[in-house]
Amino acid sequence: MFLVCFATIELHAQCDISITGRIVDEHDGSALSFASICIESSNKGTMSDDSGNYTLEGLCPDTIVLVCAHLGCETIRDTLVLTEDLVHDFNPEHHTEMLEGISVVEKGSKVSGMQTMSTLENPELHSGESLGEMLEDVPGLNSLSTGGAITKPMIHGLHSNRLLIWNNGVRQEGQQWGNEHAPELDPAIADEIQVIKGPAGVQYGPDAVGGVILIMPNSLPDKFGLGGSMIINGQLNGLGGSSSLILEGRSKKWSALRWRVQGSGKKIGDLNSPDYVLSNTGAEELNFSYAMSLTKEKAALNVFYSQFNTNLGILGASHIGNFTDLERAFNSSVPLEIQQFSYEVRRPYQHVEHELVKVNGTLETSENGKLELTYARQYNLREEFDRHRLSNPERPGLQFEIVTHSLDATHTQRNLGKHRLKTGISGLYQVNTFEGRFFIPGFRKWTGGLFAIDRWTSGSSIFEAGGRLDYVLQEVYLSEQSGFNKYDHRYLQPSLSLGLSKLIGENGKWKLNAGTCWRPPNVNELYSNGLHHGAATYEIGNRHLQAEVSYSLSSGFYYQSESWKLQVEPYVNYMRDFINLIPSFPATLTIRGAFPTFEFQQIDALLCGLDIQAEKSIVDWLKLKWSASILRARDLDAKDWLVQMPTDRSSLALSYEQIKGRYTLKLSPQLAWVNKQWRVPPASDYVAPPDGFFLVGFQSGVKREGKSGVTFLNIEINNLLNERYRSYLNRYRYFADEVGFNLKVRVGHRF
Amino acid sequence: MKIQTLNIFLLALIASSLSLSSCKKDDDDPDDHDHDHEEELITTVELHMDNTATGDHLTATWSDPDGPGGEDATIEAITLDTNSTYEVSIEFSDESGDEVHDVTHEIEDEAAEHIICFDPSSGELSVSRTDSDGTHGIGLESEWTTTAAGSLNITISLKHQPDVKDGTCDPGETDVEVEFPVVIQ
Repeated sequence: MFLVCFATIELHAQCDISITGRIVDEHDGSALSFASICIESSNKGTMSDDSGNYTLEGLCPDTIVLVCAHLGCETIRDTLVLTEDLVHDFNPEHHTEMLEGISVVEKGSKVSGMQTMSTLENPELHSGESLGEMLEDVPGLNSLSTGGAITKPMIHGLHSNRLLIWNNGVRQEGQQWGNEHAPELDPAIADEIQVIKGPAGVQYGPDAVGGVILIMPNSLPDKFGLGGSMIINGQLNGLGGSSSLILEGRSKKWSALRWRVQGSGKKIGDLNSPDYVLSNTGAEELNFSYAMSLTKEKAALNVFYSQFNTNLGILGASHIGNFTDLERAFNSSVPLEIQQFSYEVRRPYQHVEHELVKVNGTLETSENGKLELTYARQYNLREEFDRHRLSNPERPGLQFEIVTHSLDATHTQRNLGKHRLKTGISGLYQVNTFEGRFFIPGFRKWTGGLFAIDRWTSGSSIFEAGGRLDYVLQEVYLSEQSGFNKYDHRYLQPSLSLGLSKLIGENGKWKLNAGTCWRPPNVNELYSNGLHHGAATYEIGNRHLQAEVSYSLSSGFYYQSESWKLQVEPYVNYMRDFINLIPSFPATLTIRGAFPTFEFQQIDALLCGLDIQAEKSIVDWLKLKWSASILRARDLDAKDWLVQMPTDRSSLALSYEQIKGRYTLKLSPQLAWVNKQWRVPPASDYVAPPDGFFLVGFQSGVKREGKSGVTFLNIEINNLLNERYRSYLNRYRYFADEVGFNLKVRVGHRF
Repeated sequence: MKIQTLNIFLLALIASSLSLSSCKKDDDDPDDHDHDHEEELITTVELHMDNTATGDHLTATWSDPDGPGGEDATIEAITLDTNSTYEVSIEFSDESGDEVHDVTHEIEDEAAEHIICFDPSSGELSVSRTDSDGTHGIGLESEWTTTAAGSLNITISLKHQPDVKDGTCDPGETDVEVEFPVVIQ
């Protein structure tokens, strides 16, 4: 009569979600004590007390089936998406006969559950890596890089202004338009990173045509006392490391107040390829943040502050003055500048700062309603220290400063019948200025948006429909021969999405999502006019560009049994007026010689692909995991391929895991294969795409769970065979080989 | 109790840092045209050529005063005598601003970081550097020798080679690369 909950051992970090609720007889409303409430396929369970109340704590974000069983009642199995604390009541029918009851309730999800998405849990196992590197293991994600230090995440072939980073509940604003501008944030603040693969503009606003990356810090501690974690990383290649410290607490005296302080630092010297030093590829970083929250019954006030500061070296051999230099670099098998290993970050380098202040308040407006108000101010500084002859050694050749104020209000109403309605309004004001060499002009930008998302359940299906309307005004200030002129650009566009998630049998799930999303052209696409030194191209903006609109259809099939886990996610993304950099003639003649000229133009593009992941438990301590992703990206106007798209890739990992008492040992050899990018338009690139490659890696870890906390040691080896290779998605492929063998050691303690 | 004290201490720390860390500011306005948009450019290359036998003086200029893009550059042709030797000096300047800014001196001052390279497209003209930074040539002064009559181009480039100058044109970054048509008659 009581359902058996399988005892499997869950060892997740920072699992702190709780479910509370009450078990009440549906007919007479009497409290049911001694009902068993447990999570299917886990060892978590409890009993209701005399008043019918129950509490389950320390749960991880997941989709669970919560089972309520009571003597003489039907057994109820409810599917819940856990992302935050929730209240879930059961009203079993008190019958003598047993009924098979299945109902699906779903609430409290921060993120649309309809879209194909991936979660990177335990980001601490990637501690010291950049966001781009962290996410490379997720099928469908790649990183577009400029050497080892500058990496940008790429979702299904789209990156930069086509992705949105949702950092701790705030839309990250910086200078993401540049291919060599890495995200201006410290991923060490994240407890979990979620990736929505595919357009997600309804909730997050314009620009999310490729997807959204959600950086989610842990919620502030509920438990009294002091907690925190400390991680130290060292790496052999680059002879450097990083460390991160988190302290958090809540005192019994002022139990309304919870706080956290966090800091991290990083220093890495020149990286090495198998044959030579990659001169001036070092990096340094210093970040800190603090968070506080005050809760009082139905209201909470949260304050968050973070600062990110970095200096990123740029491979000397890649900083070229003109096209002849570029050709000379291509024709040389080794970089034309190789110096001794050094920790110094010299010119050319980038200096980037980002500061975020966030004030957020929540209020429970009714039993099932919640209002949330968030104000944020962001400051981003980007300085590019070129190596040009006349530059003042103290000053950058190019400097951008961008200040963004944003205000968002959302209201969530649950249990409107079977519906959950989320509505919101958001506004943003932004100012960008530049100093030094002209590349993009200064501008002011205002955006405003309204959205509503309704989610409802029916049978074993969850539906979602959402709509949004955004208005964007950009005022661009341009110095021209006719004087100093102001140009206005206005855009008004809707975003829509429709989603379905359906359980199939005991072990399967199917998701389908259709939607449209858009982004306004960025200022560089409208007005850039100048030499792009890194790429030896002359880029010309097009001030007649219209909004880029994405129409997408994505699906996901999931199957999980005791020995198998399967995930198949196909997608199609049709992009109308896709903004593309297209070669134009003649070349631009300058005093540095002639440069190939590129102009921004709009085309129609079609991107379709497939991500697959399969996991087979051979025995309970040995698993085999395979993943693959393919993408085909077409320029429908030119009837040719799109450039700079990820190649087909596949990886295979064997994972051995043994748990003995308090200790967990994990060993995992890995093999990754990346194909050559054959699908490029002819004569679209200076040099042909590099060959495909195989890489061997290894991961191992030991974890000890003690009374004083969790201690772990993690050893990771990348490029074990010290393979010489170049990657199509790394701009340094023109100049140098990729990084060779690397050993990373991470030691951490969480208490 | 201990934790309480620590909590209070950390709270005080946070409160003080909150009050101290006033937000970073951008002091510029996008619509204020006057702030620093200075660009460091070379717009003009001027050649002064003296025939060592006849003493004839020639000049030729490559200039693009509005910088990359915009108006096309103006390029003067060079006409040389056959079987002659010329002493050539080269000057670089920035004519984009209100005043002409001479860049040649700055190259002289940082001679160990610079080299000027000459690449004639055929053998009727050969060029050698006649000045030195102490170790390698610079190229601000050079000797041009002509043989038979012909028509060719010469590419003149200024390379910036901080820490990597080795007497060749390979390392470093190109600051100038211009081509002059040359007629030898």
